Amino acid sequence: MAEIKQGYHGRGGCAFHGALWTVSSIRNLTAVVHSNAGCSAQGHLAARGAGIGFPELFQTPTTSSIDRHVVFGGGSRLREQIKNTVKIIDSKLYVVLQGCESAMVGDDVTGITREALEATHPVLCSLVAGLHGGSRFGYAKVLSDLLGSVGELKGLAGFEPDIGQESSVNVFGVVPVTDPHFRGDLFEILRILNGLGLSANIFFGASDGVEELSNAKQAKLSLVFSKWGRQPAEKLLESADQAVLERSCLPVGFEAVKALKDAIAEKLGECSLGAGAQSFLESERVRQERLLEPLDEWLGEIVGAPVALVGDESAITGLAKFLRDRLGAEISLAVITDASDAGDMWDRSEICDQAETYEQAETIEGAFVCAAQESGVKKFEADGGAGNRNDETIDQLAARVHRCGDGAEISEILTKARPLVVLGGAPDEAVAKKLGAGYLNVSFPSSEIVLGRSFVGLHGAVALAEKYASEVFKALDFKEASAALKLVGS
Amino acid sequence: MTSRKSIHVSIYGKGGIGKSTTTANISAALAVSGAKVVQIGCDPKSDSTNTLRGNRHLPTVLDSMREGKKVKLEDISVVGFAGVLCVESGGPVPGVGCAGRGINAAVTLLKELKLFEEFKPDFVLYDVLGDVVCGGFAVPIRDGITDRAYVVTSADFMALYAANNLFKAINKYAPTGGAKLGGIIANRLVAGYSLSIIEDFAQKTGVKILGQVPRSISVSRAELYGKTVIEDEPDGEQADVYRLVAQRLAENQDLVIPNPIGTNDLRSWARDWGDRLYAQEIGLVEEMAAI
Repeated sequence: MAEIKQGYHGRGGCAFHGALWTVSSIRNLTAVVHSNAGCSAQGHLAARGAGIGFPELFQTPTTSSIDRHVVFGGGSRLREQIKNTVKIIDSKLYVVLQGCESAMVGDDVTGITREALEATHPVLCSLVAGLHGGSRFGYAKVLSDLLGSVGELKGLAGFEPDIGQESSVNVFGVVPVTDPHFRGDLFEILRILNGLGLSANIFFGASDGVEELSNAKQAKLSLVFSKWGRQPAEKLLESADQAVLERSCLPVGFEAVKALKDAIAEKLGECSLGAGAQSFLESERVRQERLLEPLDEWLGEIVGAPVALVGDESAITGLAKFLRDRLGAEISLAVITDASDAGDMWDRSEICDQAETYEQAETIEGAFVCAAQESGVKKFEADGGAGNRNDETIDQLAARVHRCGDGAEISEILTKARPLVVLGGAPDEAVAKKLGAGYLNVSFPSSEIVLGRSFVGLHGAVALAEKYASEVFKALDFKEASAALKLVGS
Repeated sequence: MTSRKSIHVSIYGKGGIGKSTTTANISAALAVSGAKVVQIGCDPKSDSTNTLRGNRHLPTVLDSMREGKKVKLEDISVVGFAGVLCVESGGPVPGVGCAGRGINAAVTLLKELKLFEEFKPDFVLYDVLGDVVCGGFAVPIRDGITDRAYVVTSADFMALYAANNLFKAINKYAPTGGAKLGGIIANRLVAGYSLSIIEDFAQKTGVKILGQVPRSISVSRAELYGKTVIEDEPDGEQADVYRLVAQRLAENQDLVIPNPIGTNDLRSWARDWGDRLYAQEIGLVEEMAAI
């Protein structure tokens, strides 16, 4: 039974940034930001944590609100910005995003957006401000809002009814930026689904993401790869009759791909898959084993290596499973960095109220008291809907599980655990170096340039095996491998 | 009644309780006694100084800021009765923007315009909107702008509730340099028990009552004429009442940090008073029941 520790802070920006990154990852969609100067620029800088960032983010139209827009309301400034944006920036669809000040002041963003829509401009809005939570929550909210309102555009140029190709599957829960490999992951998932004879809306990286948003309602199935994909899938269920299949993790390696295929077949029926699905799977199996075979000779040297994973739950659960089952790793520690991206503020106040520490929380000392009480107070549902699948959760895979995103705390946890290899984000690299452990960049923020890299599917599994084994060997001190392994593992 | 160093006073209280009337009469009384006085209305309704300036038009600070022109002191102030300088912060259009932030911005502008250096007042009275609904309305007591606050209240529960909220704000900010409480101004006293209720509340929260202002038709009449009682009926009893309150306010150096009552305790305290009034109404004879 894993020892589970709880923490609070998320790693990876605010809800507004999550929404901005999501919108910016959809081709033909342009964000119009109603916030003070700096919100978008900060989002642009932080997006570099995804390996390379989004050059286009730096050109995001924004109202750059100032004090007078807070005191008197910023509605007219937003109206002006929408008018100029649709004139100057060529885009199929525009979405207004709201910063914290505008949310607090209560600008009528919905009403102003509706005015633009009534003037036949394709403009929607999503009221997700930074203060609403973390970036993954921002992804979930903005995507749900877009899926829920894109139907309002019917009749406008480019949004004629039934335009575009019907797809079988919507893919949700792979979050742009906070999954630095989201592009590569989605392309690999698309390749797998296509191999199984299914077409898919992946939204990000698609040639026309806006068209995929419009078509999402017609899909037979929404495939949800993390808890952040639930909200968009549920939004579609409000007006569409489609199945939802939630997985506990991204599929890494052949076994996971096969399990995914079986789950889809169970939901939609075997006949929904293409005729070539079985042969595709068989070729995946053969290719994976042929590519991994040479490593088997060395597995004896690395089996039982204590490994620590730091990252978002869905991603590291898939990695942990493959590392343990195929490469013999011992998952000694998992640190989940996306446990509490939504509603932090309210959870915190609830804890303070329960403990009658309201007055204490008004002081720095009181804040420490509250923080200390957070540990173990609330367990986040790691695996909603687990009853309908047999996947192992990270709590079952890892000997010790922490849920927190605070850098100093993670550093302390890693130092105490003394793993042989750390799979995590850039801040964890320095800790790994100090420990003399190997390091592999798998989560946000990325310490490397990432374009299409992925650790998902067949290609991802092989890439993971290559990098992981290399790091284990480096860390082991090749000459005294078994002695070092014993020492570090103790 | 002059002083070399300005005394900055903020006056709070539930909306409609008579805050502006009381503040304007205190300003008028202080001015008549020879002090240089500024009254700043910190309420989006911008009607705090109406009776000091005979209902004459006065552009608010925020209206002037909204127009985007360079604001000058003379654009946003007018000299009223007995030389009281009147200023209204104003606010955004109802339902739009943030009035709390507006008050903050208006007060900041007044400081930038060097109002106090230019006018050299003995007293500056800030008449602040009703309840302390958010941080913006706590600006006058929070940022070292005033060093003392007074609360105007009647014996009505909701007025005392608002006063208690102000006490919470003072209790929070006073230890870090915010204003302390000068006392309660008991207003609109009618029934015999009104003062008893306020006295009990004051005793429980550890504050004193600076003055007692009975309900009077003189106040209503003066307001209809666009005047303070001090101007309209300077020899009347009500004018004497306001003069006494003004004198005590000017001389008061006994500033305290109040002990606000917890919300549930305040409710049960109110219920107890309800029971006592009911007992009095039905003529219940009981030991210790005297009011």
